Amino acid sequence: MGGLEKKKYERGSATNYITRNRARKKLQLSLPDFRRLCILKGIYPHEPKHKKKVNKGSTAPRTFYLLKDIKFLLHEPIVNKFREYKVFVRKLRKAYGKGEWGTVDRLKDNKPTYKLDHIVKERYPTFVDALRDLDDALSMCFLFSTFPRTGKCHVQTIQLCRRLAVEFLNYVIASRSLRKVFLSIKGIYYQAEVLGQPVTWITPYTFAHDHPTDVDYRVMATFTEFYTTLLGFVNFRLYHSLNLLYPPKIDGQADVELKPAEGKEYAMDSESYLEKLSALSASLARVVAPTPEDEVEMDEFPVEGETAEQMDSRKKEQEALEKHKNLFEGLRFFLNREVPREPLAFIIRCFGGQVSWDKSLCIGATYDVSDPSITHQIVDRPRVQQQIVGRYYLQPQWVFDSVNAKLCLPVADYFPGVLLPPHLSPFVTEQEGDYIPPEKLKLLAMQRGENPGGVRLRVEELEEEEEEDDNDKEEEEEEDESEKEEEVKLKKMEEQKTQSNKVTAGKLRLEDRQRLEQEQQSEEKRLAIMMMKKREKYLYKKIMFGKKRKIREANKLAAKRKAHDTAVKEEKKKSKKARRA
Amino acid sequence: MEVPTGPSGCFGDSPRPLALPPGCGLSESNCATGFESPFAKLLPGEGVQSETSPSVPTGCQAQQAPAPLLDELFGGSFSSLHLCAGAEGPARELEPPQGLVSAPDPLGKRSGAAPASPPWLHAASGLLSAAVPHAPAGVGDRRCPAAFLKCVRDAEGCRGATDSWPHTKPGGREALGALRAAACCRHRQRVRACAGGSGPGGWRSESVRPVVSAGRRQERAGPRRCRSPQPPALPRSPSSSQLKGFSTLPAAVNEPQCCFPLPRAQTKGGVPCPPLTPCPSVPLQDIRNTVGNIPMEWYQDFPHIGYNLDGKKIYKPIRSKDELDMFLEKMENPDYWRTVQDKMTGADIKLTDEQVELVHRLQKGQFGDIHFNPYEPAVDFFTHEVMIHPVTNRPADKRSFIPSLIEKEKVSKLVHAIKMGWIKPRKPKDDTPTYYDLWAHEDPNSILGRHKMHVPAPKMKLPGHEESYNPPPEYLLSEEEQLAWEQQEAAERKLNFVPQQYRCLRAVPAYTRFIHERFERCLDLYLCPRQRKMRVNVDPEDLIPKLPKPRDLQPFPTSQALVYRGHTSLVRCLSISPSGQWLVSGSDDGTVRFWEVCTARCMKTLPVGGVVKSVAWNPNPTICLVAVCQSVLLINPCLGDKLLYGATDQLLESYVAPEEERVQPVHWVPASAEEHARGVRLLVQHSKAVKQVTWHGKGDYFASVVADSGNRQVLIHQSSKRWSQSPFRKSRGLVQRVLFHPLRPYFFVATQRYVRVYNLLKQELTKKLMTNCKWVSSMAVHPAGDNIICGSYDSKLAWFDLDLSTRPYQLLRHHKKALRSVAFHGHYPLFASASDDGTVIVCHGMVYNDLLQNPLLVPVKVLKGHAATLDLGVLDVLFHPTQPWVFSSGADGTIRLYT
Repeated sequence: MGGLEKKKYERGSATNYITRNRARKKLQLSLPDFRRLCILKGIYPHEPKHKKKVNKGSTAPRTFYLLKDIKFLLHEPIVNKFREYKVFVRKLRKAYGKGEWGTVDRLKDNKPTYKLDHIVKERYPTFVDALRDLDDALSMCFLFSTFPRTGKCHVQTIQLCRRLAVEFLNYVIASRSLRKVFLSIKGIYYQAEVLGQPVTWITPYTFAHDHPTDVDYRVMATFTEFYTTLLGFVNFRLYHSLNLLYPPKIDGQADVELKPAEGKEYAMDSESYLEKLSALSASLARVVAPTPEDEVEMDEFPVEGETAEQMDSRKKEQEALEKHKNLFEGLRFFLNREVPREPLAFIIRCFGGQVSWDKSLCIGATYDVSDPSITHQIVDRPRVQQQIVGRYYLQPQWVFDSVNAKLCLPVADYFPGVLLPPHLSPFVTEQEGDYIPPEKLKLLAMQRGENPGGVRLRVEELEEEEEEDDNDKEEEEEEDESEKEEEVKLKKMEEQKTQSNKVTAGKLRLEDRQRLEQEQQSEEKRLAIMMMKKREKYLYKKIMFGKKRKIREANKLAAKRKAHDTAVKEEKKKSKKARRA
Repeated sequence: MEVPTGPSGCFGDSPRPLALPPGCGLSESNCATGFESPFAKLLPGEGVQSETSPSVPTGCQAQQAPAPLLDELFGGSFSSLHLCAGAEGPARELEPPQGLVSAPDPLGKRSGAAPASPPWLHAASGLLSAAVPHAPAGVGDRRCPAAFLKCVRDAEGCRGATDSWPHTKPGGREALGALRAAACCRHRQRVRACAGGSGPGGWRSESVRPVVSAGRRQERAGPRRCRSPQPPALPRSPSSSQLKGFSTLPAAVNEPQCCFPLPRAQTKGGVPCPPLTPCPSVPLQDIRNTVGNIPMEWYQDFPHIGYNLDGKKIYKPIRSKDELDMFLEKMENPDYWRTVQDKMTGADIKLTDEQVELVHRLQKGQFGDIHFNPYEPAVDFFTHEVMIHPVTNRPADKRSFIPSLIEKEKVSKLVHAIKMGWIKPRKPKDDTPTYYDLWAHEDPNSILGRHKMHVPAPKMKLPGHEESYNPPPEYLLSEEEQLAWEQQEAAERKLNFVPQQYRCLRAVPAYTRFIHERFERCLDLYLCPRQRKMRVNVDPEDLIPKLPKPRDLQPFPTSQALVYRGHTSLVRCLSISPSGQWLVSGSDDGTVRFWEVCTARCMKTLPVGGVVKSVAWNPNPTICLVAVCQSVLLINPCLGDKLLYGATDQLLESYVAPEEERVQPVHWVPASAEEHARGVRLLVQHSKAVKQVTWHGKGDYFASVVADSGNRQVLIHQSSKRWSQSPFRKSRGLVQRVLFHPLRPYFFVATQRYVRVYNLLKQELTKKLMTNCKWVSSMAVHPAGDNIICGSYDSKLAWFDLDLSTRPYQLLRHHKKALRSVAFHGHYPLFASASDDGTVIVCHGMVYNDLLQNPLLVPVKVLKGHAATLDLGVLDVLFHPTQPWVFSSGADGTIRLYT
């Protein structure tokens, strides 16, 4: 066999990958520029299947990029813009140094700028792709919009982020696509279903940020630069899909309502525009005015192979969704000033409720506290001094829990000053064998249409009565028990005396067939496991380990809960006794 | 208070007082008292007002200005009002005596020449030209006309003052006044001199634009305006011509402005002490207090606030008012709001209505003078229309129509730079909208190939119940858990936060690591290598191989039936008679015991005086002979059929020693009589300890393994001929086990890692099996002879199919510890392995005659019973020759039978 000698690492996977430094050299970019480019273009390192082969025999830790990705970066127009910018900065510095102000002006006029539109289109060829990747963009924009206007990043960026975030919120309100909300200790999670895609984002609680020093804000700013572009385009498209004007305009009628009384002009319309929009209390103007006739019922096309049952369930689901969307329809809320206004206003409006707040709190309040038509007032203080008859005073958690439960929960648990029931995460779907907190079980029962509330109340009453009875009984029993114990002791002593030589009847041991069967099966299984191949056995053991751990954790939680419940009961009993005494 | 209307009227009519003389009196008073600009504005108006109003209030009144008002208006500058107001007071006060002293003789002369209706003016002017020698020089000076005018005004002011002077007689009053004016004029010059030349210049530089510009505007309009009102205003005034003459002088353009010091002198003439002197003196500098322009705080701790011209202390007015008095005064005094304090003298000054009015006007940003018209019609000196006559008749310069060389050079440079691309023209503005419908033309085919390799970033984990602000109580960490959490590395933690419970939403604080988390997400997105991992959702049950059920593979031993007790130390080896009736075992206690299998009875105990490593019952059913490893003993156990063991003895005794003695590696020694009685028949004495002994299937040959390292590790003996030989010429490693093939003339030698198969007929190596084990401990051959199992100390059992490969067909890792022994059953498809973990595992090992079908190996039973002693469990395992029973011997000194 002749032929040329084959060299190692010149074919196969070694040629598909490129290390970061080599990539950088190939692109002739500095590391920060390379980083920015990677962030903007969405290029990320790949983990090769056989690292040693790719790394030419070495096992040193290296990051690898796909060579195709890097080649793809080579003809990216933005790379040239980066270079131009570098040149621009150099020229500018030179002009400054020489004091050539005319040159400085001229250079500043020709400052190179770039647009990211084509990158957005390239990274997300279809709109649905963009929606799928919206989570991080939203979270980042919401975070940036809460930054102070000093330092850290450009004010324009912050303002843009705020604008885009508010626009998105308005879209969600207009389309009523919010599904789940969650008050976490990190912030507030929201999940909306936008054109069938679940979009989840988190907003921090509205406090000043404690800016950490070990965070590189430039990286975050670069991400935000891309995300704002993406979100802008997505917003545009979303607004147009609902026939809304973009940039959003407040509905004419609402606009009039929002206008303050004459003489108390707040600010110019152009200045207060974003504030009015971010009040989230007004509906948006549409390109075409909607008519009620437009909302026709969708025709039904039976899918092939679908049984009547499936169709029924689908229909039911649709109905449930409709119901969920109109959860707060017809309710009028009023937010006290200690309640976070924006999230609550957003959620309530998303489910069709009307909401207002104190005029001095924010622009856009539509009615007053004293409005008799208010049905719910959201309060977050232990006591309400002057209560107005005809409305519920509730803690904010009621709104969140109701949204997650898809029904208006009984209000009794949420009165001000009451110890709140636990707030559960709507993102958890328990599988077989997982631990389910009792509150969730209760909720599930409620959703199924049972009425555990009434039952529970009755049960509680009964329990209390029983407890009382128990207490009485226990006291009696205690006396009885002491007597009984003495008797038992005596008996035992007698027995011991008589026991010396006694033939006892043998015990009949019953063969438990089922158990035998089980044992046999388990042994069979054990033997079969012995015959497994090494790799499979490893996998099997891993799976089993995971399963066991899961069970262990669930058991632990259950035990903890039990211990807690008993402790609480004890406490109750004790306090009751104390009261009685 | 009566003021003669004549002169005051003539002056009052004139608009001149308003215009400010930038270079004259004001400048001087400024330089002395440190005026600030807004006040400069105030003064002219003030002058006008006080002049025009017939009822000039007393000085005291004038001084009472609404301090807060003015302060508000002028900020700190109000103090300057005090200064200048006070500045003129003493001057006037002091002037007369001075004038009298300095010019005693003119007094007499001028008093006679004074009677004309404005006699004082006459006198003053005359005096100026005649008596004051350096006046002309002053006139020559640029400031001179103004100075003169000031003089004149002063004189007038002095006249006003004289009216209120009761002691002078009307007749001589004017003359006296004129004289004083003259004197004070001189004095003023002196003052000016001492104030230094910086006066006017300083003022100019400090001056505020509005004033100057007003002045300029008036300058422009000056000649005309000055002229028109003057003749009617000063009809009778003899000095009017002089004034006129002065006003025509270039410097006199400023002249109208210089009127302002005059009214000031009037208004401020009041001062604490009544005006003793009729002469208002020069207003330029406050000469009542000679301290000059200093911060008055310097005098804070002294009873006086300065010195007068005579060098006497000026004492502060007594202010003994406490807070209450002040308050009462504030409440009771209706003029309190318009009372201001003069810093220079410490006196209170009450502002007049006019002054208050003036302040109001200035506050509104209007001119101080009510009569001033800021919108005078402008005179167009140069029209925009092209006239037929040029303004200048000068021919145009050549350079005006020849292109400039410098310009040309510059232009050519720019052109060159543009050509070379050094200068780029300004970019046109991009007017495409920021956001538009980017996905208007969605083309699913446009998806790049790159997207096929794209690994989308995994989404962030959604929060569970424990992240809630009010989680169920079981999700909160207990104290130990929290401690453990704190001690864990941040990367190891299952939760990156500690679950917390808050009473209400209001109590929830900001999450301090929020930015961190977003940042880490960013880093993950662009720095983390991504890999597509196929997560197969495997049901673990599917991984378990589907094997035939052990129930279907019966018979196999399932439970322990008998225990053979008797040995006092670990039982190393077992062997069973071909009939299956007798069992022999060798132990570390130095005995060999013979057992009846069915009853577990020890039939015979044979002490051999050493550790028994191996026993082997002769497989020939017609011979009852046991080889015991010590040096090898051949024993006739004398059990069972007497015929049978008698025949065996006969067979052994039938041996006839050969004629020639052959060299043998061992010695064959017949047993002594005593030993013979115990059953020992023959001794094969080896040079070293023997590890193993095994019979050939026919029962004549047996092989022994010596613990040696040379080529004589393996010896093959022929019992009938009492002949031994060493088959190998060369050592191939430490031999662990040897075995004869049950049917064919093959010989298996297991070294540490390999099993070699030799053909005894051809005397060659047939095969070398790789065991894939570290150290082979035991070996067994399938009765059909085509399969071998090897147990190893690394707890593996290797099944070799000799037809298939030299590598194991299957490697079974059933045991947890080292394998000590393996065995095949004679008939049933069973094999067993004994291990140090105390178990015997019985497997079904079906070998098919069909070569295409691989053997089926199924573990069927795990037999337990032996207790582990000294880390040793089961040492030997053995199948019953006919029944599916298995014997095992353990380190606990027992032998167990499982059936």
